[in-house]
Amino acid sequence: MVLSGFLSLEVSPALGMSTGPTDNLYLDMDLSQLMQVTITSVSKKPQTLGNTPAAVFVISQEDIRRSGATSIAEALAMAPGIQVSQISSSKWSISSRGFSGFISNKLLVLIDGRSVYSPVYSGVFWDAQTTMLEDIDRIEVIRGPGGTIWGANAVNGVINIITKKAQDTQGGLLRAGFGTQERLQGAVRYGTKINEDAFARFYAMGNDRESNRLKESGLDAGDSWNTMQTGFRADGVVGTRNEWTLQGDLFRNQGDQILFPYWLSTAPYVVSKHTDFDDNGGNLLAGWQHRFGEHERLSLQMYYDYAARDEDFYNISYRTFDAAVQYETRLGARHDITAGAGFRHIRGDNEATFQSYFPSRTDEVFSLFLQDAFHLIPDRLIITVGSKYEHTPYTGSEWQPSGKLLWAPSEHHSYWASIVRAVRTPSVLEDGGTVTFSNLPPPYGMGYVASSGSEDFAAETALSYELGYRWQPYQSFSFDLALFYTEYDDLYTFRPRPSERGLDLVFTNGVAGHNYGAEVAMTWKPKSWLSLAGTYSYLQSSYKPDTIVSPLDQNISDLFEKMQPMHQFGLRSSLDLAHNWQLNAWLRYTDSFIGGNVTSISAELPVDGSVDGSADLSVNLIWKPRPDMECMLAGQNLLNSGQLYYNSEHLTPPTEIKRGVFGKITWRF
Amino acid sequence: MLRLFRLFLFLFLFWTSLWVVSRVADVQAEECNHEYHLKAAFLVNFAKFITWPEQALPADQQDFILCVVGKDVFGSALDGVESKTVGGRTVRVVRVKSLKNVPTCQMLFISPSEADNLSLIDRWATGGQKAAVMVSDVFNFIEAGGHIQLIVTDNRLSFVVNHTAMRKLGLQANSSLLSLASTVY
Repeated sequence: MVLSGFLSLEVSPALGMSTGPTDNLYLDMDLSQLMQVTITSVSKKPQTLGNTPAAVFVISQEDIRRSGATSIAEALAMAPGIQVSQISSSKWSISSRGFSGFISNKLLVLIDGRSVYSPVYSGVFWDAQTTMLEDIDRIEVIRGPGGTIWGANAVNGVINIITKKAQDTQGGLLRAGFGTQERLQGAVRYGTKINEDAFARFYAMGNDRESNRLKESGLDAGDSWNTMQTGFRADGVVGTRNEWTLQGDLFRNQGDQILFPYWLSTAPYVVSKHTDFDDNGGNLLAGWQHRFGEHERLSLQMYYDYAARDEDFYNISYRTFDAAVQYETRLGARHDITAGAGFRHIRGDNEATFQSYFPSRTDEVFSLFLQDAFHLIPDRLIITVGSKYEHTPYTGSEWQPSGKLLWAPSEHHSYWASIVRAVRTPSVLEDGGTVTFSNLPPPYGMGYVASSGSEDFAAETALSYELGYRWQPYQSFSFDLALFYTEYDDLYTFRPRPSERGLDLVFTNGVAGHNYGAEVAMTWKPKSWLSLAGTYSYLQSSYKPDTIVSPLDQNISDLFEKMQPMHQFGLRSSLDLAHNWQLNAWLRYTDSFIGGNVTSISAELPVDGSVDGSADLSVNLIWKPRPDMECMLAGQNLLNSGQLYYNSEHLTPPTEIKRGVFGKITWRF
Repeated sequence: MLRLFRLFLFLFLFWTSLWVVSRVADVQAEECNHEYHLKAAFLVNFAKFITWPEQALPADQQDFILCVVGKDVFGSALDGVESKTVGGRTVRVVRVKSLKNVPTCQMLFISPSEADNLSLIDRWATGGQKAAVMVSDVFNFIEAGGHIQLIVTDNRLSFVVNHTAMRKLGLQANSSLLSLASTVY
């Protein structure tokens, strides 16, 4: 009874059958019935989204569940403007608005406010991010610069992975599954109430994945991968004004990999090395929030994070301590002020290998930010102005200002425009590290060639102009468009410099250019049993070297232009076949592009990095024999027996991701 | 240069056409604010469980007056309310701009826009003729001396009742209302 009333409200406007004022159907219900009606997050989400002057896309828990995704990386492909290209079973290139690569350095990623962006090479080790998917509340994907709030390295986007509060994961959950590529998967979670004001959960999970195959030879790509992670989260309130959270995770992932080209100091100088890797780490995070009033809030957050990798290429470990405070208040009736300060202490303990050298160093970063949202017309016309100031040990002071305008002429439409400056601060590698690119002695090559960090290397900068429009005429239909034009300056290039051992390619700021594009996201639920979601992204890039010192300058800026697909599109459909059967399908298309990063250009083994346009289809069938049980049969990469999604990454030989089928059962108790 | 011009021309036309389409569609669009549709129904239901002192709601009064104070967050959600009756009286909705100037009514809904002026509710917390039930979804409403605060728990609407404050004004809540409340003070 309650449910049907709720649904009819949702569906009839979508079909456009009712005009004129609707009757409020809830008025006929009594209080106990009313208390059973859920206020769906759907009604809340677009409201907050509609008031955000940025290109935001939210991937909900329901989206993740229905997608059949088995990793965060895979789930991110649902967002427009994001390129997710799987390199091998454990490696991905994930980038926003261009600049793809395993070393994709312009996208900041946070899990519950904890940065997982590695200071080593400026990027994210996706194989170390194995959060239990059922715990994720939502993933907010923000394309475009987010430097004013999130700080350096949020040049082309920010991904916020937000896990559920402990009170939302009460009771038990057991998941078990097996398949061809997803060989084994298992997870257990239990949530309990500690007292009237506090809740906690504990979880443990693991995945074991099959290897893929090499593109050239069709042989086994030696990239099998298994992951284990465990952790807890506790949340509670003190009185009506204080909220706290305490959470922690421990993980260990191991896998096989082929490193190619793998350079040696002596003959035969280069080999294809079958080897393994081991990464492990843990973190502990505490947060506290106090509300002084309706518009006044103080939040504190601290975390400690340890992450280590042990493999033939890297042998690194990082300890990070981070503390941040944020204060929000309203001045007068029209100014919403947000102020924040942060401190981060990072200690690296790294060992050199013949492949790479990352200096062990200890760094401290300080930051302050201030932002004012000025409501010219309350809830209708809002100007937001702010800036972050950051002091980094590499480049000193960095300012990242932004100006944004939001105009919402009605609750169904909003327009926004923004101008934002963002910077990417140098990585340990760019400041003083080394990566071996080649070691072929004459007459075959030039001897030892390696990248060389430089203290003169300054931050890369971006200035982005964006326009956006959101339209949600009904609950069941939404349309989101973002247009952008971004100017980049001081992008890196290499300048050759003879060294004692051979040739150094020194990191230098020397490429500038721009890109522009459009991103569209639509959702439509024409019937109560059918929902559709589509995305389209267009991207055009143009870069030029400031001066041409060596052919490398031109090659690198040419690669920057081609290293991302011009067109990407995705279509997801969800069909409720009967009350306990669901059929979900997800089709993706990625245009051709050139894979590989700059290191492959400068290596003396020429690699053809081109990746053809590719389509990818995954389909799954969900059956709920009982309300507390869910069975899924899923197929991944269904269109081809194996497909190359990324190519010629510096260390991984071109690998075709194989078609896979798996089944899993989830039981909640 | 020409390419840039074409791009901007394209964007302009695209933008304009989107705007036109959206305006047309807007006319047919429904307000789908479930949360406040629900809250409106809660208000009417509350009224059914409360008895007012004779001075505040004389037997011969035909209407039950519901005042919405501050920015009208309900939109169309209140449209059907006036066809409802409370204790044989027809519900009348009166929209008032701020807490500073509220006419006599039996129930006040205080919008979030008035959150900073909650200290003014003391003015209406006098008994006698002015005894009105004060309801709001502002988060510290009970602390500020309000009567019923709507809260969201587990994605559902619930409410907290300050029965002590209500009784001071001679307002009596029925026991079944109190039993449904998540907390009673």
